[in-house]
Amino acid sequence: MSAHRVLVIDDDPRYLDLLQFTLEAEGFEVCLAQNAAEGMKQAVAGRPDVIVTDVAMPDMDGYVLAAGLKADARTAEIPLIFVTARGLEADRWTGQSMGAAEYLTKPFSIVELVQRIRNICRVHSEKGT
Amino acid sequence: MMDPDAAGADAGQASDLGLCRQVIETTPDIVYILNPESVIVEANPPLCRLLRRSREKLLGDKVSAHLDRDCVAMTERVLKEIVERRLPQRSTRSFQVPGSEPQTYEVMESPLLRDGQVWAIAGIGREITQEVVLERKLWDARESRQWSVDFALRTALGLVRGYIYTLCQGGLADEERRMRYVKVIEEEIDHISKIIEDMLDIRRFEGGDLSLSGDVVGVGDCIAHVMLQFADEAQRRDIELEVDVSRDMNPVCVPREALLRILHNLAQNAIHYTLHRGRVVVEARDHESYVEIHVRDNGVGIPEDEIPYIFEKYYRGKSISTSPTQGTGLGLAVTRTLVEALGGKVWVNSRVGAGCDFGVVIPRQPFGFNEFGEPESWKLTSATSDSATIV
Repeated sequence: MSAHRVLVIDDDPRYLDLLQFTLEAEGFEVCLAQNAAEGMKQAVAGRPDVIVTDVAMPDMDGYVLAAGLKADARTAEIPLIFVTARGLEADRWTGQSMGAAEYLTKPFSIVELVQRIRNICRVHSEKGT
Repeated sequence: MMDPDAAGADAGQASDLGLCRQVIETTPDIVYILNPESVIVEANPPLCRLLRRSREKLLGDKVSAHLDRDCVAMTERVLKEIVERRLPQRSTRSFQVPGSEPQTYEVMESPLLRDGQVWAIAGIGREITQEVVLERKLWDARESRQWSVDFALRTALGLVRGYIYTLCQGGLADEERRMRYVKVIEEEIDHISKIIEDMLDIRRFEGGDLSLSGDVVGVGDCIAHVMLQFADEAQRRDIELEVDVSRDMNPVCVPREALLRILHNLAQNAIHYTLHRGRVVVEARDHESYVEIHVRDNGVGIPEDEIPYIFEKYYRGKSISTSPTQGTGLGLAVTRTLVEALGGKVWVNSRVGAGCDFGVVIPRQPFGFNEFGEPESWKLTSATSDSATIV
């Protein structure tokens, strides 16, 4: 069985490095984007199984990115996980109303993130079969 | 005879459309479609109830016929942006029909494309409670002043937690990577400590509860000490650090810790807003009764309208930091308080795209010596005080 592909979008290279290393160690195929516009391009080109994205990025709000992905038939079905330092209830609400599969607040647990990605991949694999 | 598969697909599609229609009609959210000229193409029952019109009366009308002027202006502005950028927009909008209380909705509007052109805009809005509105206003207020201590702490703690987890997992055979991760942890812990120190200092200043002792310190030594703290970050980001201090500078009589904090905050600010391959210069000059220090960079600069506010507590400029480390808007406020407590002055000259020049003057001997010839200790009496009290 081929590895599930995860696209990670974050403007902080240290988070990209961390998530690439840990997710690859868990058997995922990982691609990275350092801004939302690049993330959108990679989502269309690479069709990842899951997208893990930051919210506060300089070029585009992660919520706007999410709406852009949902509006494009090629990326609309890709599950999204928001990983953000915005911890207000209103932000969680917004993230979920944007169709996010999961919303994790920094400082998040890597174990929890990996588990949630696995759950999403499992549900989607079952749907596909 | 009809192909049974095709018939099944048609039936499936019809059933999908029926389902969509059902969802749109039964959801408590408002759902609508507008054309780019803001004419209503579709409106679901909650929107009809909100505007107190039947669907038939709404379809074909411009939104301006049913909404108050502010809401129309905002809707038209958002539509224009969606058509131009072909990207969705999120906004909070207050709808008010005559004779009723305004109702606030969180609205997401997305472009509907046909042959690459926006032919309509689909909107979904959810009414939000006053509690959520207040929370969002608080966030907006924070964001507009870029008040982000919590944001900076969460970001830093997330890195520490993630990298510690990775190190604890073992299997990091790559020594260079392991050292890099340890370095990130160290830097972020320093960053968290600095945020906490700044917050405590602000509280102490406000409570008039800060006592420090005066020292005879060399300005050049303090500058060298601070430059060393930023050497790694500067090297990593290809920023040139330069120190220009004359060798024969006389010492000053100020609390060493305070001078280090002033220099640290100014240097950190310069590095955070300087681009790769940029340059930060720290310069110190002797004058008869005071020393003058400049921290110059050729970074992104500060817009003119923000300059009056940048020493305000929790204020962070709209310029995008070039460093991944999150600022808090406390550093420059602490700097000004310390400089003024020493009887000095801090200011900035800046131009967007050209960089900043932060200048500081500090009296050489603000608080004198006691009867034993030792520097006087001093205490801040209040945050609003322009001078410190000798105790």
